[in-house]
Amino acid sequence: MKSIQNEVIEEYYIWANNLTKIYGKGEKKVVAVDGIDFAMQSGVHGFLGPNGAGKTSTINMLIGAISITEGNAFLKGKKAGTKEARKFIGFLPQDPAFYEKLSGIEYLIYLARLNSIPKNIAEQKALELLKFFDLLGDKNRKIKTYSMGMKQKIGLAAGLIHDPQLLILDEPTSNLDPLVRKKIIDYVRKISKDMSIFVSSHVLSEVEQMCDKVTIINKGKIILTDSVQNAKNWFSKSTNLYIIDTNANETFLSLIKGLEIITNAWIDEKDKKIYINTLDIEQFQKEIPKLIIEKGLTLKSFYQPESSLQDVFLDIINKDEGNRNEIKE
Amino acid sequence: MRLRNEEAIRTIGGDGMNSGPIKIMTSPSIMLFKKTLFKDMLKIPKFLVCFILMILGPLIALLSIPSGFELYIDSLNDYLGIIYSFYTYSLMFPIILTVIGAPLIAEELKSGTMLTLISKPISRGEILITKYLALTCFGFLLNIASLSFITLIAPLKYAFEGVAEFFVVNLLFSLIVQFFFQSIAFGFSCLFKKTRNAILIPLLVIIITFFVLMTFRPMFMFIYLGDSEVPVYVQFQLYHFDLAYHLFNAYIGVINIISGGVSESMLYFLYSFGLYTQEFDPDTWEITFTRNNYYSPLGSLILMLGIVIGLIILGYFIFKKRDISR
Repeated sequence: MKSIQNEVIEEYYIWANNLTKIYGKGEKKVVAVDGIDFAMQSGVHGFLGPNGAGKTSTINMLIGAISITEGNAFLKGKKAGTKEARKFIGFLPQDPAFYEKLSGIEYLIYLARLNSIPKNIAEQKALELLKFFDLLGDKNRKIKTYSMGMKQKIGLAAGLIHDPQLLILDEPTSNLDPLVRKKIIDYVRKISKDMSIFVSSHVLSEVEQMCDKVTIINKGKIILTDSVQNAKNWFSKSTNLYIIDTNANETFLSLIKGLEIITNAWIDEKDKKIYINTLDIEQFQKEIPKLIIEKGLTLKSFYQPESSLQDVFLDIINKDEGNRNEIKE
Repeated sequence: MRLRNEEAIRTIGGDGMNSGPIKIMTSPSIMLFKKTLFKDMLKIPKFLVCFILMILGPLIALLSIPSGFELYIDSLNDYLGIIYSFYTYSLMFPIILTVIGAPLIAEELKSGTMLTLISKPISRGEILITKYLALTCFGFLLNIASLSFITLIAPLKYAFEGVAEFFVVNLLFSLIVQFFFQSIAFGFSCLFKKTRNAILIPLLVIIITFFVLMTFRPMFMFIYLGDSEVPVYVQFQLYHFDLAYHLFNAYIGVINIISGGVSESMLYFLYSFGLYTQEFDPDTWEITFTRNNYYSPLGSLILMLGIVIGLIILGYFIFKKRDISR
């Protein structure tokens, strides 16, 4: 009989509890993943973090390529790394390696057969995928003759060949030129209609384009897990940033700098507008327009910018680094 | 786009394919076996080169018999046994098995394809067993092809006797050699990530076993330290780790079973592996060979089996625990 906890875990595509990976021992010990907890339901889930944050180590633990030092992880209720768990995942590693002497179609059929798919269906599926990824014309060419972009596409096709319920992509666009990068993102978005995807990246704009939810990891620890929109909203609220443009920005900046409600204000070098951080939004929205009129200035624009995931990411990482330094001191 | 083929998923779904008494016979293992054997090993140019290397020595020995020549030795095993057991089975076959077998795991680890492989529903144990079986089939096919070729063409050149005996003795001996060296190569393949290391160490074992020890063994057998009446070779029990001794001890065991005893022409050869001691009578100018019984042939077989099983178990556990990444 399944326990209630198991039933709950089975609802999640990925469920990780205190997942830890430590490389080496003694003085050479490196904590790559530091007791992370997170869960992924259906949809496209981004796994965001700078290089060396622990993204690839986490993914490798999920597929069973590396051992889990502490904690545990489940994929749809099946223990990560087991054959049962691997049956329903597709995987594209970072900088994937191929059996380069095989042709594109041979490679896909081989991987399909490794997933116990009958030969005739494997052939049919391989052709479908080659067509989907615009590789049908190159199906009989050896993979070693493929370009980087073609290799990444065949890698994606290989991850999809057995119709996985969950596709895990580790930095799928790294080392690709912008054009191919865009194509891969488009493919991921198309695929996401049929299956759930867990995608790691350090390229923020891509995660923003591909994902519904995002988990941010830094130095082995998870800092935030939320929907992309919520993360952006949270950032806007937490920083309370406003942009104001008047006919005399420098004069106005000198007028507001001493006000209590303003924590920081500066003129941006690019757009020459005034950027203001405030503590009290309500008071700020009342006082500032009034002040502009009183001083006889013309208000050209007054708005709260929509933050990008990049702003969220950089802010969170900076705060995290700051907190760590404070703790150290 | 709907990629899912519901019928296919139903066919492959569940535990049906992976349950049952013989786990290795599941489809992923068979696919890996086929790919390893037919796509990686049994390629015509590769197989042909290995085949030529295997038969080159014996073929030269056969072709060197002048036509119409009356041979002193007319038993095929006595004539070719030494060349076949030394050149083919102690030199070429182990080298081929090492060069083909050692990269099987190490190469996939180094290139990164192992990461793709282990993300599939196939256990690490199954990967090892499948690749080992593929190497076994490759070695067996290569050996049967070369042995059959020599056995078939030898009577065409000269009216040899005991052709069947030659075939059986060498086949049995080759199975011991193959099992031993392919296991060493495979064990080291699991231990090292670099293909170079995985190949070099078993090659060193072959070189030390068949060249270095073969060169120095007779010397050790004649050197006595101080007042000792026991030669260095025996005193320091070199034979405990002298693999060539154990291998040819097993060879004697096979010859004893099939032919009923070792022929005189083989004694000089077997002496160089420490299996016989030599006494020279200066009066009669006669050389007498006496069999050393440090180990029985079965004892040597058990010892070799122990080394091989130990190495494979070590390789298995290291591979099972190994962190695999790009």
